[in-house]
Amino acid sequence: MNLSFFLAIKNLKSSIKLFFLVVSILSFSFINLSFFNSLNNGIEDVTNTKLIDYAFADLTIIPKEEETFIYETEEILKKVRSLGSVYAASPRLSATGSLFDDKGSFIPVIKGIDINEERYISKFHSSIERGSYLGRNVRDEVILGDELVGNLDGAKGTTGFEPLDLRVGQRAKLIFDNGVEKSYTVSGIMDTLFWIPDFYLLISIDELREVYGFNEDISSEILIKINEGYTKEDVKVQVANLGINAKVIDSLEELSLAETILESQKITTLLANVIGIFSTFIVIFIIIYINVNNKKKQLSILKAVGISEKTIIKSYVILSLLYAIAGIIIGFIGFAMLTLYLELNPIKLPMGFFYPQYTILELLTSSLIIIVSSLFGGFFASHKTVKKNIVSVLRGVD
Amino acid sequence: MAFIEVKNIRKSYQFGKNNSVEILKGVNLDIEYGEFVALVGSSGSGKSTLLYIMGLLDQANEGKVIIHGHSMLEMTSTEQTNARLKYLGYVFQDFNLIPELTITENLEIIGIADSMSVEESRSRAHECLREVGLGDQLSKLPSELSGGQQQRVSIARSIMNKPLILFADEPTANLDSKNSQEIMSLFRSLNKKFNMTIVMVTHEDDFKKQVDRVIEMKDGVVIDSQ
Ligand SMILES: Nc1ncnc2c1ncn2[C@@H]1O[C@H](COP(=O)(O)OP(=O)(O)OP(=O)(O)O)[C@@H](O)[C@H]1O
Ligand SMILES: [Mg+2]
Repeated sequence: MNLSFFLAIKNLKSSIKLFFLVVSILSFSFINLSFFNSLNNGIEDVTNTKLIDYAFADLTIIPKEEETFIYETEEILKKVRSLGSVYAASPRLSATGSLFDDKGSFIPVIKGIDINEERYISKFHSSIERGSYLGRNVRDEVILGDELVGNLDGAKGTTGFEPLDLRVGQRAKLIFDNGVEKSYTVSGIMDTLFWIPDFYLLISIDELREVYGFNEDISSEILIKINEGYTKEDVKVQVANLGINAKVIDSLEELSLAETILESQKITTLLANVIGIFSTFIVIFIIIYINVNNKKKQLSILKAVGISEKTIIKSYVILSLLYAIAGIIIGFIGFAMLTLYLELNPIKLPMGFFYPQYTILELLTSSLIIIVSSLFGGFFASHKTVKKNIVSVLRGVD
Repeated sequence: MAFIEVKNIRKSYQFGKNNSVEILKGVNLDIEYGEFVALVGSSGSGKSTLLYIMGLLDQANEGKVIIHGHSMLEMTSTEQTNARLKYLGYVFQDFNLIPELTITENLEIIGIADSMSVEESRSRAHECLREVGLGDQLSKLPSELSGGQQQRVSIARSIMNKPLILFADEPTANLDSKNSQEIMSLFRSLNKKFNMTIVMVTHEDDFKKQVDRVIEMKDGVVIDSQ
C-alpha cells in the first residue's frame, strides 16, 4: 500500500470531527458553484425564450445601416411571406411618448403592431391579464404592459418607478414625441412576465403611422416566425437572397440588448466561480495548515526516522483530495435535492418562471474546481511546515 | 580510518541580527564499528546538538561527519533522509512515537517507506516488538503503554530497518531506575547480538561502566575520549 495514502487515512481517522466540518463546508461550496450556474442557465434560458416570444421573434428585418425605417414594408412582407419556410411575418413601428394618468406621466415604449398578424409572431395576445386584446381594426385602443400600471397585486413594478393609475376601460392621454396629443381607451393590461415587453404600450400600427404621418410602407422592423423543420440560419439566407431593401438578422444572436442582459449574468457566474475557487482554496489551506501545524511534531518524527518530505506532503494532498471528494458527493446530494425542490416549486422572476438548468459538464466543472483548489490548498499548507528543521521542532523551538 | 569520523564540527545559534552563540566549537571524534559509546557531560555542553548532527537530523556550520567513508553533511536532504531510513536509528528521551498509530503501525510505516510490502513490513515490525519484549501488545496505541514500554517501542522502531548505527539521546531520563536498567540492557544486547554501533547520550553514572567507551564533553568540545 502507498505510505502517503496510509498516513492520510490515519490522519483523517484521527480527526473525524474536522473531516465532517471540512466536508460540509466544501459541499456548500459545491452547491454554491453548481447551483449558481444552474440558476443562471435557467435565467438565461427563460430570458432567451421571452426575448423570442415578445421582442424579436425568430428573425428580424431591420432598416439598412444608415436608415431609420424600412420603406418598402408591403413588398418585403409579400416576398417574405411567400417563402415556404416562413410561418408568419408582421411589421412593427416603434415610437416614444408620454402616457398620463391623473397625477403624473410615464414614458412607455410605444409599439405599433399589425393587430391581426402580430398574434402569429408574438405572444402578446395570450399575455392579457385584464381586459382584452386590441380589437380588429380598432384604432383608439391601447394595451399597457403591467410595469406601466403596477403589477396585479398593486405593488410597485420591478424597476421601482411609481406606476400609473390606469385601468381597463379608462381613457389615457398620450403625447407622442412629435408633439401630437391624443387619448385612447385602455383595452387590456398584459403581463408577459418579462420586464422589457412589460414596459410596452401596444397600439394599432395604422393609427401610429397616421399620428406620425407615415404611409403604409413605413415600419421600424418586421418580425418573422419560421416554420418547424427550418433553421434560423437557413431562413436568414433565404430572406437575404430575396433582394430586399433592408437587413435580416437573428436578433438574439446579434443585438447587443440580448447580450447585455446575458452578459451581466455571465459576469455573476464568473464571479461565483472565482469566489468558489478562492473560498475552497482558503478553506482547505486553513484546515490543512492547522492540521499540519498541530502535527508538526509528528511530521518531524516521521522525517527523523527517514520518511521523505515528498511522502508527507503527498499524504496531505491525498487528505485534501479525500475532503474534496466527500464534499463533492455530499454537495451533489444537496444540489440534487435543491434542484428537485425548485422543479416542483418554480420561482417567479421578473422574466418569468424559472427552473434551474445544468449540464453534466457544469457539474464536472464545479467538481474540478473543488478538487483542484483543494489540491493546491493542501500542497501549499503542508509544504512550508514540512520543510521545517527537525531538531527545532522536536526541541519545541519552532 | 574509523567507522564514524567527526571532524572539526562547529555549530552556532543566531540570536537576533548580530548575536550568535557557538555551541560546538570544533568537535573531533572517532567511533569504531560495533562500538557502544556513552556521550556524557554537563547540561548545555552540546551533547544533543552533536548527536543530532551526527545523526543527520541537524546541520552543522562547519566540519564533516564521515560514516563508512561517506561525507554525510555534503549530501542533499533527500539523500540524508534516505540514509536515516536505511542506516540510522534513533531513540529519543521522550519516545516520539506517533500517537494515532498503533505500535505495530509506528514501526510498519518505516518498512513501507523502505519499499517493503505491507505484509513483510508488518511481520518485521512484530519481530522487532518481540525482540524488545512487547510481543503481546502488538495492536496497542502508545498511550496504552507505560513509559518503559513506550521506550521499548521506540527502540524496536529504531532497529526496524536493521540500521548500522543507533543514536540515543538520554533514552532513560524519563524512566525509573528499574526500567532504565532494563532499557540499558536492551541496548547492550542489541550491540552484542547485531553488532550495532551505538552512540548514547546519558547522565547516568551507572551506565558508564556498561559501555565500551565514555566520551566527555564540556563547553562545546570533547575533553576526554579515552
Ligand atoms: N535551537 C536552538 N537555539 C538556540 N540555542 C539552542 C538551540 N538548541 C540548543 N541550544 C543551546 O545549545 C546549548 C547546548 O544544547 P544541547 O541540547 O546540545 O546540550 P546538552 O549537552 O544536550 O544538554 P542537556 O544535558 O541538558 O540535554 C544549550 O545552551 C542550548 O540552550
Ligand atoms: Mg541534551
